[in-house]
Amino acid sequence: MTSIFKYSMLRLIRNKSNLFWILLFPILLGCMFKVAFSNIGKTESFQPIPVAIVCEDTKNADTFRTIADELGKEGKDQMLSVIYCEEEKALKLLEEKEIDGILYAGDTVKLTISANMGNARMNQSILKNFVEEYNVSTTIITDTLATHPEKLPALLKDITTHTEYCKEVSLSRTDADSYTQYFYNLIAMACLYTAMGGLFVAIENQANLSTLAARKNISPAKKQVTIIGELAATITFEFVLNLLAFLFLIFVLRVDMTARLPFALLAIFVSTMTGICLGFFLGSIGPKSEGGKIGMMFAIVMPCCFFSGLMMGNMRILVEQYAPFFNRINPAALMSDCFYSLATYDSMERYTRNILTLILLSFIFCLGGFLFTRRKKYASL
Amino acid sequence: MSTPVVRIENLVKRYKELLALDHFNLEINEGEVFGLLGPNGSGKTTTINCLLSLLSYDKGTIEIFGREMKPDSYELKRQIGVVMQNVAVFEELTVYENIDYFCGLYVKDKNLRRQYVQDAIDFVGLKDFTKFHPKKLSGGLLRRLNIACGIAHKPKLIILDEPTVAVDPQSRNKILEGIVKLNEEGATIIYTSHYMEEVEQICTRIAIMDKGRNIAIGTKEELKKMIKKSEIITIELVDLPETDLAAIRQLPHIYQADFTDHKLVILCNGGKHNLVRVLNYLQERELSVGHVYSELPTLNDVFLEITGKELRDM
Repeated sequence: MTSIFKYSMLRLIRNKSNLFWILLFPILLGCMFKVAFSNIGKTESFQPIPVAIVCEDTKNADTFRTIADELGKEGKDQMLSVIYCEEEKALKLLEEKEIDGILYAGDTVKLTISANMGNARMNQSILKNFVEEYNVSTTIITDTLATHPEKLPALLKDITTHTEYCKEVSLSRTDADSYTQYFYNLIAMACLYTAMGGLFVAIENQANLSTLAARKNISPAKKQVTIIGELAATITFEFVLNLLAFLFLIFVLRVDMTARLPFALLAIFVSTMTGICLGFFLGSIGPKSEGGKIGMMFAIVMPCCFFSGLMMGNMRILVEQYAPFFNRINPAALMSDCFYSLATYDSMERYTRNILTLILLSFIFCLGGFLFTRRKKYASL
Repeated sequence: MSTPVVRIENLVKRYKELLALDHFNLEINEGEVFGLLGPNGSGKTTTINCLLSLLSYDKGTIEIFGREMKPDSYELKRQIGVVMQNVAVFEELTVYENIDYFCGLYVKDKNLRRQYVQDAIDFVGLKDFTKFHPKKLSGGLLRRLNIACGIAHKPKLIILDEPTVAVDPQSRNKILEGIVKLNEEGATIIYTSHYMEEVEQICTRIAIMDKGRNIAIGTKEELKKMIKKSEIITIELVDLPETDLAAIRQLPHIYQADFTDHKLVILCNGGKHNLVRVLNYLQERELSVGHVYSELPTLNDVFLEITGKELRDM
């Protein structure tokens, strides 16, 4: 067994195509995801709203100017990007879409926006709310000063204090980015694609598929022992490669998947094992040719990845709605859900259920594979 | 009488409509170099695969060392070494590692295995290539590696299935010498080939196969005695009148004589000094003689006479 393990490891290490498909492919895909999702993040960050302020010669205008200067100060809380100018220039800037609105500061503040601003609708709404709130507050302060000046300090305190009447409570452990799910699916795909390794273990132990297998079959080494040795080497080797890909995502691409790291590593190990056992099972049944078996493997693994959400982020949720049982047995969905539940839930119940299901599937695949290959004579070679 | 190393009785194997082995019988005794000779498709490899319990068969019994051979006959398998027709080695492992891997399937003791692997390397002459990967080896060296992988564990029964296919003459001789040496060291050999010269050269007993049947069995001398032809005489002549040809046909032990393309071909069925007798006749008739050849029958002639077709052309 140790000799079989040792030489299987050597063969896997020396096979360069393994390094590409198992290690580099998920890394390349991860880089592509990172580039794509980084842009999404950038478009969602808040940019100061460009406005022009046309001031009249009033006391209130001076007050507003002070507030506008404060809101236009550079920094992470900057809300406005202010240009003070004459009305004519302001209108020209608005027409040229250099600014999203014009604020006229007089006794009250008025807002002029363009109807033809397409992408700036959100900024226009923010400006509208800001102007309304400013005008209401100014009116209340002026009225209070005129009628109940003794209540002014309390009023000012009220106005300057922002009161939240609703409290946001997160149901998850972390505020994971929505696109992190894609990386969970990517790791799940990498683990499931190790099925190829298991498939070749099966092929290399069936005398009707390769001469090497025939040579092994005529030796006194029990087939189960040979297969277990080779599966163990394949699992070890591919686990290490998947681990490297995972660490690359975390430490190089800075994807936040560090929640409960030891459990995440366990999930990668179990997922790799399930992928390889699935491949071994598929290699032990079905078509009597290497090409046919590989084709069958892809025909099963690709849909599993698709339904786990690798190509469409919400696919797993859709499957959960219409065919929840499929999510309970789809290895790719179970693998992806392991990482998701680790990052999302305090409870380990869902993670444990997924891991146990994967172990059970590995056992079933392995047992099935052994039953199809043990003590077998072939009708033709 | 000792138990045969291999006993095959009434073996029948069908591939759908094709009858690959048709009530095939065989007994091989200890210490023999047994040749299975037959054209491609005659059932040699099928016989070997059934013998090794790789192939299922429809009927018959197979015993090795007196015990039934089954897929889980691990003790029997331990005593068998097989050199497959196609080279079966791992591309990613070196020569040494390949031999060690396959030897490891038979021998668990590491020290003993190290010794066996070294012996096998010396035996096939791959000492200078131990760190080479298979793709760096020539066809002949690759075949030698294939042999080393099959015999490293020092089996009592060695089955070589066409081990010299696509091998240069130098490597072929080396392989054949090695097989004889293995036999001298005590191994029983089963050697399949469609090269009759090789079989004649090394085998102590030969079975000729055709269409899944054992059509003749014996030593090469016994096989040659089975046929009418004992000598073939070929003489180049400028011309040979019909009357002289008829007279030659009447000479003792000559059962066939033909003259075509200035060549007189005479088939003899026994007797001595047939060539001298013919040459004396031609001299008496003052007929000019060119090149003269006298050949003994080959296994191809045996095959030709029994089946009506050439062994080498199959």
